[in-house]
Amino acid sequence: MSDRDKDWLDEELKGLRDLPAPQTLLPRVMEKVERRAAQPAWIRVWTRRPDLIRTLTIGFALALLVLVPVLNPLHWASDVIEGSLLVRLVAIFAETGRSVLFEAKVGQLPIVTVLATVALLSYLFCVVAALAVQRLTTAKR
Amino acid sequence: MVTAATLPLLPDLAGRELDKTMVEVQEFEAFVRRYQNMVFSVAGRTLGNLADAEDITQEVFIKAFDRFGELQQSKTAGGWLKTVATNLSINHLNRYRARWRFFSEEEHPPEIAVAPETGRERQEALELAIQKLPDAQRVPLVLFHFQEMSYDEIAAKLGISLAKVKTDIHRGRETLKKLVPKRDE
Repeated sequence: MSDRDKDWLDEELKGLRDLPAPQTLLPRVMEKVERRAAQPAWIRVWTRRPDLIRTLTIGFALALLVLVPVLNPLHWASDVIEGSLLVRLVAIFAETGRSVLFEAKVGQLPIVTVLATVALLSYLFCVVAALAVQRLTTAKR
Repeated sequence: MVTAATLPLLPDLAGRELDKTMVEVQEFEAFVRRYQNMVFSVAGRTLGNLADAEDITQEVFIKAFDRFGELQQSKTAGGWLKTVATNLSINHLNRYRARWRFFSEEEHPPEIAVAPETGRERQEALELAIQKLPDAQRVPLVLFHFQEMSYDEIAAKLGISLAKVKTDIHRGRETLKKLVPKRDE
């Protein structure tokens, strides 16, 4: 809107004061806040820092992804649960996958190292990108 | 390792944590007192409904409490509160838009019963007129005049075209001028 279009209505709108909040608002807010503050610390972290929880969950999932082929829990399970064909088959597949990951190489590096590096770098990139976007939006605000 | 010597410190730590929380709650109460009118105004004018505005304001402050550590230090706490209040209000309108349309079909065009004379009466009449504007006119008008957003920003926020933003604001202003005519000099 150009200055020419500005008129008495703009002045009156600019002159409007804030609406008074209802008397019931503050007690309602404080009741909820006190209830929230009384929660144990770990629940408060859970509700206050969803970003941290998300990051930790993704980190944990990635760590698990790397650890599962290394530890191969199904191989142990097949030793314990004898006679279960399905478990033994899955364990054999997992063992084959493990061999491929550790013995096949890309250049001089085992595939597992390459995959772990790529996963870690992707994860770090996502975290840095998310932080950058968050900072940009905060700065814009 | 927890030893007998360190054990007496544990209740002390818990006590200090409790004191810290109490102080935080007290400080937050002062924070709410300071900003409640501003947040309520943003929500009330955007929604055009003061009962819903109270709920939205409450929601804004609960979110603010979760980030109180940052907001307390921030010089832009007011801006953050305004943005959150605006976003929650728009989300609320979008959620209940279908229902709003259904009831709005029954509504008569807004009227201001008494021609306002004093400044205070005019302000009240103008507030009432803003609340009675249709959503499509009120929301962009409020974002433009009270949040000082540009046409482009409003278009992006509401997901509508620039031309529609301009038209809606213009129509909203025309309606306001009809409802609260210019004061005789």
